[in-house]
Amino acid sequence: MGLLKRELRLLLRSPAEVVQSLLFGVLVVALFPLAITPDPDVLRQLSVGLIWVVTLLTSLLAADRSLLSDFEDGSLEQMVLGVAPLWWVCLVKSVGHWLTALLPLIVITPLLGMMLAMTSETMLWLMASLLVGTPVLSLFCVLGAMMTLGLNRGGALLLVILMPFLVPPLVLGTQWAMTLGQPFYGYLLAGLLCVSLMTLPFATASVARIAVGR
Amino acid sequence: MWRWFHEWGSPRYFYARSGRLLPYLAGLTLLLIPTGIVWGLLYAPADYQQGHSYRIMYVHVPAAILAQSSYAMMAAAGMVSLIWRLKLADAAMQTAAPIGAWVTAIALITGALWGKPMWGTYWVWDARLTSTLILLFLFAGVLALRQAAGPSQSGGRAAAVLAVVGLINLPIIKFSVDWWFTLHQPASFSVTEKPAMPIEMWAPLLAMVIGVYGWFFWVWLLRLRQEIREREVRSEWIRQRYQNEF
Amino acid sequence: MLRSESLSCFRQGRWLFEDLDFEVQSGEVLQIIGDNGVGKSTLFRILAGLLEDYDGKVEIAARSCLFLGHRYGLNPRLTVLENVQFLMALQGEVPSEDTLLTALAKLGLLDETQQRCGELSEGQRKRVALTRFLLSNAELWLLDEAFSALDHHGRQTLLTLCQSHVDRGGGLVFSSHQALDPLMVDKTLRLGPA
Repeated sequence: MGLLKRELRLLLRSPAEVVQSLLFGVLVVALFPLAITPDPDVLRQLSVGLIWVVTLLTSLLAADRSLLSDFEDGSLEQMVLGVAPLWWVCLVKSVGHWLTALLPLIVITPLLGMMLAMTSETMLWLMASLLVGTPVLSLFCVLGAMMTLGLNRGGALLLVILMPFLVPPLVLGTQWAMTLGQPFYGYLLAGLLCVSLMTLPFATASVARIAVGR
Repeated sequence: MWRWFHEWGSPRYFYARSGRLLPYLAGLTLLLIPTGIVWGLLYAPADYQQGHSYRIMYVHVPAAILAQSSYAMMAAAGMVSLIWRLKLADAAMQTAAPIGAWVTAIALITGALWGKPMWGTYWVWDARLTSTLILLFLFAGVLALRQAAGPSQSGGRAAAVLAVVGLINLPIIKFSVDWWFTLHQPASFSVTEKPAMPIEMWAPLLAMVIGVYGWFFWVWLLRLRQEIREREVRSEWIRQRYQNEF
Repeated sequence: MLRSESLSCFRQGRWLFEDLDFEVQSGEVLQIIGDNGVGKSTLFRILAGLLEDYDGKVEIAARSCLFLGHRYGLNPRLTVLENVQFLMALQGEVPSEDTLLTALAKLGLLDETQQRCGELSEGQRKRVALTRFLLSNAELWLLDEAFSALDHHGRQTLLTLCQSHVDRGGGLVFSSHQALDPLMVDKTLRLGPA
């Protein structure tokens, strides 16, 4: 519990990080009409996919932010040595990542949707799909960040490692939103979230033990 | 069973025993692949729809089949190295990854070449092509992580976790790509529905598939033995073994 | 409490150390001496269980073990009090704020409790990191270079702290470049070329 409190406290201490994620999202979405066309019909068709891709990139961008500082100042070592179960630590890290990087973006999705001429119904389903799907992104991003911790290879390695795993949430999320909530995709996405929640923190924990040895 | 496992897990025993397997694998490969190639490319009948262009199948299909199972074998080696901390399994995983990546790349390239006459374009976002592409990324991730983490055993364990997580995700990725595809494309140019092949066509294909597996294990063993030599260079048995030969 | 058997570590193409056999029993102090780069920190990280690439055996029979390495585990954006609270929580202990403040006062940090750790000097941060040794009742202490960066007063405090820990029957392993006078050292392990 103390861990979660610490994570939230750090989040409140550094609003710049939240703002950075938001700005990134808004700016990238603003580039699409400029690059493709201002035609609302075309934008409307692309909007769900574009916002999902932007969310995915934001998630990757913020992946190793809080882990890196824990790694550098030695907190991670103490977490590995401590009595609190390591999978719980990793789960909390994922929650922190989701709260700083992804939740703010989901909150401003209506704004992004307006920029891309979305209908309000699609927008609702898009937000629903993001709410269910983005925690999966966070869980995988923290796993990937833990794997590349201390390797000094930058974001490219992270992208290569994570890309295959981000495909299922991306596909299921966009399909769910574009079919306006066809339950089939919703169940699958929720199932994916459950499976990820139950397995990935353990995988991340096993990688954390390796990472502190670097 | 456990004794057997322990014996094969020791690099020394493995090195000695696997040496005896090599000629058989080499023989199998060198017999079946040329047979399959010559038979398939020259003697098998032309397809009534696709003419001669279908013959690339004799490379593409074995490569595609091998690509997936080589990932599974790599991940299985990774799992063994995670659970039992076997150095040999780590070496096996590390050496399987580049071969598997190449096989996947070959499957993709031949698939694209086959796509040109069939679909009129090298690349379409077909469900199979897409999931093979993602398989290539999975291999690339394992390779890149292994490379970045250096030669230590702990670096190998991180890559092993990635490979195992990838193996669990492989069906999920495959299904999601399939659903994505069926929603977007009418199944008009699906490769799945093929008329039954006459025996003259699939017999060389079978030879190729078995031959390619033989080739995979052959190259894998060669590379693994090389890796063992490098890793065990400090140990007694490898010195003794090679000093006798000088 | 702590025992190693033919402990060896191979790094960057050479043996950092080979076949170390040592033992620390309760109430004993082991000092590890060696120049920079001979593997002191690596040895500590192996003993603490952070490094797994080694040959040989390490057995720890202590109920709990505290480790202080080169990185103190203090988040620069959290205050001194928050950091100590968090580190204690990781050990499964939740001391009251009074206890925390008393401990911090003993280490001369009473005026800094609300400061962010990023604003402190090296010596002050080290003292913050040492607070959990004062509060915890772990049986085995692993102190890597704990005495460097401390001023005279800080060193004395730490020395008394260590002495009372050993008197209570705890085990202590520490490393330093030179011998430390008042502390009774039971065993010495010299690393590096003899």
